[in-house]
Amino acid sequence: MGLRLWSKSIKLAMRSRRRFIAFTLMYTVLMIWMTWNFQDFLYGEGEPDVLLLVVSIVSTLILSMLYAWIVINYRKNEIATLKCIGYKNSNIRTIIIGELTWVTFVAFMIMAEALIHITAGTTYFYQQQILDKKISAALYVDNTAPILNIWPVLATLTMFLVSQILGILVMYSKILKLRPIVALRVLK
Amino acid sequence: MPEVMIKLENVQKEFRLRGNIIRALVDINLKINAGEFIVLMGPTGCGKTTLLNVMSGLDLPDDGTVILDGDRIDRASEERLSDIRRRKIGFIFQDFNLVENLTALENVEAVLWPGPLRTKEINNRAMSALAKVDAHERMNNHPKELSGGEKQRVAIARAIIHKPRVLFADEPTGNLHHAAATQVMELLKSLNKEMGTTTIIVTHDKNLVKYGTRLVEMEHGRIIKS
Repeated sequence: MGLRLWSKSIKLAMRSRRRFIAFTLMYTVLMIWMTWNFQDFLYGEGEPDVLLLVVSIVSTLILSMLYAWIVINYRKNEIATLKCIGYKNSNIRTIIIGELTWVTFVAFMIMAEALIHITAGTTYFYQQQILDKKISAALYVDNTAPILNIWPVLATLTMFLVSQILGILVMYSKILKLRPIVALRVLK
Repeated sequence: MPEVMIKLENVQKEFRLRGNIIRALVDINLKINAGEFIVLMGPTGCGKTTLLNVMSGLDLPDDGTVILDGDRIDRASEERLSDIRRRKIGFIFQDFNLVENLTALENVEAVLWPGPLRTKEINNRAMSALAKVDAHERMNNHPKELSGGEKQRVAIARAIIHKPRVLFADEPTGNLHHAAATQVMELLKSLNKEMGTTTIIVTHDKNLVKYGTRLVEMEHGRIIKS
Protein backbone atom coordinates (compact mmCIF):
# COMPACT_ATOMS: atom_id res chain seq x y z
CA MET A 1 0.00 0.00 0.00
CA GLY A 2 2.74 2.45 1.04
CA LEU A 3 4.83 1.33 -1.91
CA ARG A 4 1.91 1.89 -4.29
CA LEU A 5 1.34 5.41 -2.95
CA TRP A 6 5.07 6.07 -3.20
CA SER A 7 5.15 4.97 -6.84
CA LYS A 8 2.12 7.13 -7.58
CA SER A 9 3.85 10.09 -5.93
CA ILE A 10 6.73 9.67 -8.40
CA LYS A 11 4.21 9.75 -11.23
CA LEU A 12 2.64 12.90 -9.79
CA ALA A 13 6.06 14.53 -9.37
CA MET A 14 7.07 13.77 -12.96
CA ARG A 15 3.78 15.09 -14.31
CA SER A 16 4.10 18.44 -12.60
CA ARG A 17 6.80 19.01 -15.21
CA ARG A 18 7.79 22.63 -14.70
CA ARG A 19 8.13 22.32 -10.95
CA PHE A 20 9.98 19.00 -11.27
CA ILE A 21 12.48 20.27 -13.84
CA ALA A 22 13.07 23.57 -12.05
CA PHE A 23 13.74 22.00 -8.65
CA THR A 24 15.76 19.07 -10.04
CA LEU A 25 18.05 21.52 -11.83
CA MET A 26 18.37 23.76 -8.77
CA TYR A 27 19.13 20.73 -6.57
CA THR A 28 21.71 19.46 -9.06
CA VAL A 29 23.57 22.76 -9.23
CA LEU A 30 23.46 23.11 -5.46
CA MET A 31 24.66 19.51 -4.98
CA ILE A 32 27.65 20.03 -7.29
CA TRP A 33 28.52 23.27 -5.52
CA MET A 34 28.19 21.68 -2.07
CA THR A 35 30.24 18.65 -3.07
CA TRP A 36 32.96 20.97 -4.30
CA ASN A 37 32.87 22.87 -1.02
CA PHE A 38 33.06 19.63 0.97
CA GLN A 39 35.96 18.51 -1.23
CA ASP A 40 37.72 21.77 -0.53
CA PHE A 41 36.91 21.56 3.18
CA LEU A 42 38.14 17.96 3.53
CA TYR A 43 40.99 17.74 1.06
CA GLY A 44 41.82 21.27 -0.06
CA GLU A 45 45.17 22.89 0.42
CA GLY A 46 45.57 25.66 2.99
CA GLU A 47 42.71 27.08 5.08
CA PRO A 48 39.33 25.61 4.05
CA ASP A 49 36.63 28.12 3.14
CA VAL A 50 34.13 27.35 5.89
CA LEU A 51 31.90 30.26 4.95
CA LEU A 52 31.26 28.88 1.46
CA LEU A 53 30.38 25.49 2.91
CA VAL A 54 27.99 27.07 5.42
CA VAL A 55 26.37 29.17 2.69
CA SER A 56 25.81 26.08 0.52
CA ILE A 57 24.29 24.17 3.46
CA VAL A 58 21.99 27.09 4.35
CA SER A 59 20.99 27.42 0.68
CA THR A 60 20.07 23.74 0.62
CA LEU A 61 17.95 24.14 3.73
CA ILE A 62 16.17 27.17 2.30
CA LEU A 63 15.56 25.44 -1.04
CA SER A 64 14.16 22.33 0.65
CA MET A 65 11.82 24.43 2.77
CA LEU A 66 10.76 26.38 -0.32
CA TYR A 67 10.02 23.21 -2.25
CA ALA A 68 8.03 21.77 0.65
CA TRP A 69 6.14 25.06 0.99
CA ILE A 70 5.35 25.20 -2.73
CA VAL A 71 4.21 21.57 -2.81
CA ILE A 72 1.77 22.11 0.05
CA ASN A 73 0.52 25.58 -0.89
CA TYR A 74 -0.02 24.93 -4.59
CA ARG A 75 -1.77 21.65 -3.85
CA LYS A 76 -4.01 22.64 -0.95
CA ASN A 77 -7.16 21.88 -2.89
CA GLU A 78 -5.79 18.57 -4.16
CA ILE A 79 -4.73 17.48 -0.66
CA ALA A 80 -8.09 18.53 0.81
CA THR A 81 -9.89 16.57 -1.93
CA LEU A 82 -7.78 13.49 -1.16
CA LYS A 83 -8.73 13.90 2.50
CA CYS A 84 -12.41 14.11 1.48
CA ILE A 85 -12.15 10.77 -0.31
CA GLY A 86 -10.67 9.13 2.75
CA TYR A 87 -6.91 9.71 2.64
CA LYS A 88 -5.31 9.84 6.07
CA ASN A 89 -2.57 12.32 6.96
CA SER A 90 -0.06 9.48 6.77
CA ASN A 91 -1.16 8.71 3.18
CA ILE A 92 -0.68 12.34 2.16
CA ARG A 93 2.70 12.39 3.91
CA THR A 94 3.79 9.32 1.91
CA ILE A 95 2.87 11.05 -1.35
CA ILE A 96 4.75 14.25 -0.46
CA ILE A 97 7.83 12.38 0.87
CA GLY A 98 7.84 10.31 -2.32
CA GLU A 99 7.85 13.44 -4.46
CA LEU A 100 10.60 15.18 -2.47
CA THR A 101 12.88 12.13 -2.26
CA TRP A 102 12.40 11.41 -5.96
CA VAL A 103 13.53 14.93 -6.88
CA THR A 104 16.56 14.52 -4.57
CA PHE A 105 17.39 11.13 -6.07
CA VAL A 106 17.14 12.34 -9.67
CA ALA A 107 19.25 15.42 -8.86
CA PHE A 108 21.84 13.19 -7.18
CA MET A 109 22.05 10.92 -10.23
CA ILE A 110 22.47 13.91 -12.54
CA MET A 111 25.13 15.30 -10.19
CA ALA A 112 26.99 11.95 -10.20
CA GLU A 113 26.86 11.87 -13.98
CA ALA A 114 28.03 15.49 -14.18
CA LEU A 115 30.89 14.87 -11.76
CA ILE A 116 32.09 11.90 -13.83
CA HIS A 117 32.28 14.15 -16.88
CA ILE A 118 33.91 16.96 -14.93
CA THR A 119 36.46 14.48 -13.59
CA ALA A 120 37.16 13.17 -17.06
CA GLY A 121 37.61 16.74 -18.30
CA THR A 122 39.93 17.83 -15.49
CA THR A 123 41.92 14.58 -15.73
CA TYR A 124 42.46 15.22 -19.42
CA PHE A 125 43.44 18.82 -18.70
CA TYR A 126 45.97 17.91 -15.99
CA GLN A 127 47.38 15.02 -18.00
CA GLN A 128 48.13 17.45 -20.79
CA GLN A 129 49.73 19.83 -18.30
CA ILE A 130 51.86 16.98 -16.88
CA LEU A 131 52.86 15.81 -20.35
CA ASP A 132 53.83 19.36 -21.29
CA LYS A 133 55.76 19.47 -17.98
CA LYS A 134 53.89 22.58 -16.89
CA ILE A 135 52.90 21.02 -13.52
CA SER A 136 54.15 18.09 -11.43
CA ALA A 137 52.18 14.84 -11.23
CA ALA A 138 51.70 15.35 -7.46
CA LEU A 139 49.63 18.48 -8.09
CA TYR A 140 47.23 16.52 -10.28
CA VAL A 141 46.12 14.39 -7.31
CA ASP A 142 45.40 17.51 -5.24
CA ASN A 143 43.23 19.06 -7.91
CA THR A 144 41.02 16.17 -8.98
CA ALA A 145 37.27 16.55 -8.90
CA PRO A 146 35.21 15.30 -5.92
CA ILE A 147 34.07 12.14 -7.69
CA LEU A 148 37.44 10.57 -6.88
CA ASN A 149 36.72 11.13 -3.19
CA ILE A 150 33.55 9.44 -2.04
CA TRP A 151 33.22 11.36 1.25
CA PRO A 152 32.30 14.79 -0.15
CA VAL A 153 29.66 13.11 -2.32
CA LEU A 154 28.22 11.16 0.62
CA ALA A 155 28.35 14.24 2.85
CA THR A 156 26.34 16.17 0.23
CA LEU A 157 23.77 13.41 -0.09
CA THR A 158 23.42 13.26 3.71
CA MET A 159 23.00 17.04 3.94
CA PHE A 160 20.29 16.98 1.29
CA LEU A 161 18.43 14.11 2.95
CA VAL A 162 18.61 15.88 6.34
CA SER A 163 17.31 19.12 4.83
CA GLN A 164 14.50 17.21 3.10
CA ILE A 165 13.50 15.68 6.44
CA LEU A 166 13.41 19.18 7.95
CA GLY A 167 11.30 20.39 5.02
CA ILE A 168 8.90 17.48 5.47
CA LEU A 169 8.64 18.13 9.22
CA VAL A 170 7.74 21.78 8.61
CA MET A 171 5.27 20.74 5.95
CA TYR A 172 3.70 17.91 7.91
CA SER A 173 2.28 20.30 10.49
CA LYS A 174 0.61 22.13 7.58
CA ILE A 175 -0.83 18.85 6.27
CA LEU A 176 -2.23 18.08 9.72
CA LYS A 177 -3.85 21.51 9.93
CA LEU A 178 -5.35 21.35 6.44
CA ARG A 179 -9.00 20.38 6.79
CA PRO A 180 -10.85 18.46 4.07
CA ILE A 181 -13.53 21.14 4.03
CA VAL A 182 -11.02 23.33 2.13
CA ALA A 183 -11.86 21.25 -0.96
CA LEU A 184 -15.31 22.83 -0.97
CA ARG A 185 -14.17 26.33 -0.09
CA VAL A 186 -11.14 27.02 -2.25
CA LEU A 187 -12.75 27.57 -5.63
CA LYS A 188 -15.94 29.16 -4.38
CA MET B 1 -39.27 -0.01 9.50
CA PRO B 2 -36.77 1.71 7.18
CA GLU B 3 -33.11 1.79 8.17
CA VAL B 4 -32.00 5.24 9.37
CA MET B 5 -28.84 6.24 7.53
CA ILE B 6 -28.31 9.72 8.98
CA LYS B 7 -29.72 11.13 12.19
CA LEU B 8 -29.19 14.66 13.47
CA GLU B 9 -30.38 15.74 16.91
CA ASN B 10 -30.36 19.33 18.14
CA VAL B 11 -27.44 20.25 15.92
CA GLN B 12 -26.07 23.79 16.30
CA LYS B 13 -23.30 25.51 14.41
CA GLU B 14 -22.09 29.09 14.65
CA PHE B 15 -19.47 31.06 12.75
CA ARG B 16 -17.69 34.21 13.73
CA LEU B 17 -17.41 36.71 10.89
CA ARG B 18 -15.78 40.11 11.52
CA GLY B 19 -16.85 40.04 15.15
CA ASN B 20 -20.43 39.00 14.38
CA ILE B 21 -21.79 35.61 15.32
CA ILE B 22 -23.65 33.89 12.49
CA ARG B 23 -25.91 31.02 13.48
CA ALA B 24 -25.47 28.72 10.49
CA LEU B 25 -27.42 25.80 11.93
CA VAL B 26 -30.10 26.28 14.55
CA ASP B 27 -31.52 23.30 16.39
CA ILE B 28 -31.48 20.92 13.44
CA ASN B 29 -33.31 17.62 13.81
CA LEU B 30 -33.39 15.37 10.77
CA LYS B 31 -33.64 11.69 9.93
CA ILE B 32 -32.66 10.36 6.52
CA ASN B 33 -33.49 6.79 5.65
CA ALA B 34 -31.32 4.42 3.63
CA GLY B 35 -31.90 4.71 -0.10
CA GLU B 36 -33.53 8.15 0.01
CA PHE B 37 -32.67 10.82 -2.55
CA ILE B 38 -32.71 14.08 -0.62
CA VAL B 39 -32.70 17.48 -2.29
CA LEU B 40 -31.54 20.09 0.21
CA MET B 41 -32.64 23.53 -0.92
CA GLY B 42 -32.66 27.07 0.26
CA PRO B 43 -31.40 30.56 -0.56
CA THR B 44 -27.72 31.46 -0.50
CA GLY B 45 -26.37 31.61 3.05
CA CYS B 46 -29.24 29.63 4.59
CA GLY B 47 -26.83 26.98 5.93
CA LYS B 48 -27.43 24.11 3.51
CA THR B 49 -23.74 23.58 2.68
CA THR B 50 -22.90 23.78 6.39
CA LEU B 51 -25.52 21.11 7.03
CA LEU B 52 -24.02 18.92 4.31
CA ASN B 53 -20.55 19.41 5.81
CA VAL B 54 -21.78 18.47 9.27
CA MET B 55 -23.69 15.42 8.00
CA SER B 56 -20.63 14.18 6.12
CA GLY B 57 -18.14 14.82 8.92
CA LEU B 58 -16.27 17.50 6.97
CA ASP B 59 -17.18 19.94 9.73
CA LEU B 60 -18.07 19.34 13.35
CA PRO B 61 -21.15 20.84 15.01
CA ASP B 62 -20.81 23.06 18.07
CA ASP B 63 -23.54 21.09 19.76
CA GLY B 64 -25.85 18.17 19.06
CA THR B 65 -25.48 14.62 17.76
CA VAL B 66 -24.76 13.38 14.25
CA ILE B 67 -25.00 9.67 13.52
CA LEU B 68 -24.08 8.28 10.10
CA ASP B 69 -24.80 4.62 9.42
CA GLY B 70 -24.53 3.81 13.11
CA ASP B 71 -21.30 5.78 13.67
CA ARG B 72 -21.42 8.87 15.86
CA ILE B 73 -19.36 11.40 13.91
CA ASP B 74 -19.95 14.69 15.74
CA ARG B 75 -17.01 14.12 18.10
CA ALA B 76 -14.95 11.66 16.05
CA SER B 77 -11.21 12.17 15.56
CA GLU B 78 -9.88 13.13 12.12
CA GLU B 79 -8.36 9.65 11.79
CA ARG B 80 -11.72 8.01 12.49
CA LEU B 81 -13.52 10.39 10.12
CA SER B 82 -11.02 9.54 7.35
CA ASP B 83 -11.81 5.89 7.88
CA ILE B 84 -15.57 6.52 7.73
CA ARG B 85 -15.20 8.68 4.61
CA ARG B 86 -13.14 5.98 2.90
CA ARG B 87 -15.62 3.22 3.63
CA LYS B 88 -19.02 4.86 3.63
CA ILE B 89 -19.06 8.25 1.92
CA GLY B 90 -18.74 9.52 -1.63
CA PHE B 91 -18.36 13.22 -2.46
CA ILE B 92 -19.30 15.13 -5.57
CA PHE B 93 -18.18 18.76 -5.75
CA GLN B 94 -19.43 21.71 -7.74
CA ASP B 95 -15.91 22.31 -9.11
CA PHE B 96 -15.35 18.58 -9.77
CA ASN B 97 -12.06 18.66 -7.79
CA LEU B 98 -10.27 16.20 -10.05
CA VAL B 99 -6.49 15.96 -9.71
CA GLU B 100 -5.14 17.70 -12.81
CA ASN B 101 -2.01 15.55 -13.09
CA LEU B 102 -3.93 12.29 -13.14
CA THR B 103 -5.97 10.79 -15.98
CA ALA B 104 -9.70 10.18 -15.57
CA LEU B 105 -9.01 6.51 -14.79
CA GLU B 106 -6.31 7.37 -12.23
CA ASN B 107 -8.58 9.94 -10.57
CA VAL B 108 -11.13 7.20 -10.00
CA GLU B 109 -8.51 4.64 -8.94
CA ALA B 110 -6.95 7.11 -6.48
CA VAL B 111 -9.74 6.44 -3.95
CA LEU B 112 -8.56 2.85 -3.56
CA TRP B 113 -4.79 3.39 -3.73
CA PRO B 114 -4.34 3.54 0.06
CA GLY B 115 -6.46 0.41 0.56
CA PRO B 116 -5.57 -3.28 0.61
CA LEU B 117 -6.87 -4.17 -2.88
CA ARG B 118 -4.47 -5.35 -5.58
CA THR B 119 -3.66 -2.91 -8.37
CA LYS B 120 -5.39 -5.08 -11.00
CA GLU B 121 -8.58 -5.21 -8.92
CA ILE B 122 -8.48 -1.42 -8.43
CA ASN B 123 -8.06 -0.97 -12.17
CA ASN B 124 -11.03 -3.26 -12.93
CA ARG B 125 -13.25 -1.48 -10.43
CA ALA B 126 -12.30 1.96 -11.78
CA MET B 127 -13.04 0.91 -15.35
CA SER B 128 -16.36 -0.55 -14.29
CA ALA B 129 -17.25 2.66 -12.40
CA LEU B 130 -16.34 4.76 -15.45
CA ALA B 131 -18.42 2.48 -17.67
CA LYS B 132 -21.35 2.91 -15.29
CA VAL B 133 -21.28 6.67 -15.74
CA ASP B 134 -20.55 6.34 -19.45
CA ALA B 135 -17.14 7.99 -19.25
CA HIS B 136 -14.96 4.96 -20.05
CA GLU B 137 -14.06 6.27 -23.49
CA ARG B 138 -12.29 9.24 -21.92
CA MET B 139 -10.44 7.26 -19.26
CA ASN B 140 -6.98 8.14 -20.54
CA ASN B 141 -7.70 11.86 -20.79
CA HIS B 142 -6.60 14.40 -18.23
CA PRO B 143 -9.28 16.64 -16.64
CA LYS B 144 -8.24 19.65 -18.75
CA GLU B 145 -9.14 17.64 -21.86
CA LEU B 146 -12.67 16.94 -20.63
CA SER B 147 -15.86 19.02 -20.80
CA GLY B 148 -17.65 20.07 -17.61
CA GLY B 149 -20.21 17.28 -17.95
CA GLU B 150 -17.50 14.68 -18.55
CA LYS B 151 -15.52 15.93 -15.55
CA GLN B 152 -18.58 15.60 -13.36
CA ARG B 153 -19.23 12.08 -14.62
CA VAL B 154 -15.64 11.13 -13.78
CA ALA B 155 -16.14 12.73 -10.35
CA ILE B 156 -19.28 10.62 -9.89
CA ALA B 157 -17.34 7.48 -10.88
CA ARG B 158 -14.75 8.45 -8.25
CA ALA B 159 -17.52 8.88 -5.70
CA ILE B 160 -19.04 5.44 -6.31
CA ILE B 161 -15.99 3.23 -6.91
CA HIS B 162 -15.87 2.11 -3.27
CA LYS B 163 -19.63 1.50 -3.16
CA PRO B 164 -20.38 4.11 -0.50
CA ARG B 165 -23.44 4.03 1.73
CA VAL B 166 -24.07 7.77 1.28
CA LEU B 167 -23.36 10.11 -1.60
CA PHE B 168 -23.04 13.83 -0.83
CA ALA B 169 -23.17 16.31 -3.69
CA ASP B 170 -22.66 20.03 -3.21
CA GLU B 171 -24.24 21.91 -6.13
CA PRO B 172 -23.30 19.10 -8.56
CA THR B 173 -24.79 20.95 -11.52
CA GLY B 174 -23.68 24.43 -10.50
CA ASN B 175 -20.97 24.66 -13.17
CA LEU B 176 -22.79 22.82 -15.95
CA HIS B 177 -25.00 23.97 -18.80
CA HIS B 178 -28.60 22.76 -18.87
CA ALA B 179 -28.13 19.61 -21.00
CA ALA B 180 -25.11 18.41 -19.01
CA ALA B 181 -26.88 19.21 -15.74
CA THR B 182 -29.87 17.07 -16.77
CA GLN B 183 -27.57 14.19 -17.73
CA VAL B 184 -25.75 14.37 -14.40
CA MET B 185 -29.00 14.44 -12.42
CA GLU B 186 -30.46 11.52 -14.43
CA LEU B 187 -27.26 9.63 -13.72
CA LEU B 188 -27.39 10.34 -9.98
CA LYS B 189 -31.03 9.29 -9.91
CA SER B 190 -30.36 6.01 -11.73
CA LEU B 191 -27.38 5.24 -9.44
CA ASN B 192 -29.61 5.90 -6.44
CA LYS B 193 -32.17 3.41 -7.76
CA GLU B 194 -29.69 0.83 -8.99
CA MET B 195 -27.25 0.82 -6.08
CA GLY B 196 -29.59 1.97 -3.33
CA THR B 197 -27.04 4.58 -2.24
CA THR B 198 -28.53 7.26 -0.02
CA THR B 199 -28.01 10.48 -1.97
CA ILE B 200 -28.06 14.02 -0.60
CA ILE B 201 -27.64 16.94 -2.94
CA VAL B 202 -27.41 20.59 -2.03
CA THR B 203 -28.75 23.00 -4.60
CA HIS B 204 -30.57 26.26 -5.07
CA ASP B 205 -31.91 25.17 -8.46
CA LYS B 206 -35.66 24.50 -8.15
CA ASN B 207 -35.60 22.39 -11.33
CA LEU B 208 -33.73 19.66 -9.47
CA VAL B 209 -36.50 19.06 -6.92
CA LYS B 210 -38.21 16.55 -9.23
CA TYR B 211 -35.26 14.15 -8.98
CA GLY B 212 -35.49 13.76 -5.22
CA THR B 213 -37.65 11.44 -3.15
CA ARG B 214 -37.78 14.12 -0.43
CA LEU B 215 -37.24 17.84 -0.34
CA VAL B 216 -35.62 19.47 2.67
CA GLU B 217 -35.88 23.25 2.68
CA MET B 218 -33.81 25.58 4.83
CA GLU B 219 -33.95 29.23 5.79
CA HIS B 220 -31.81 31.18 8.23
CA GLY B 221 -30.12 28.03 9.51
CA ARG B 222 -33.38 26.21 10.25
CA ILE B 223 -35.20 23.42 8.45
CA ILE B 224 -38.55 24.82 7.38
CA LYS B 225 -39.76 21.83 5.39
CA SER B 226 -38.72 18.22 5.54
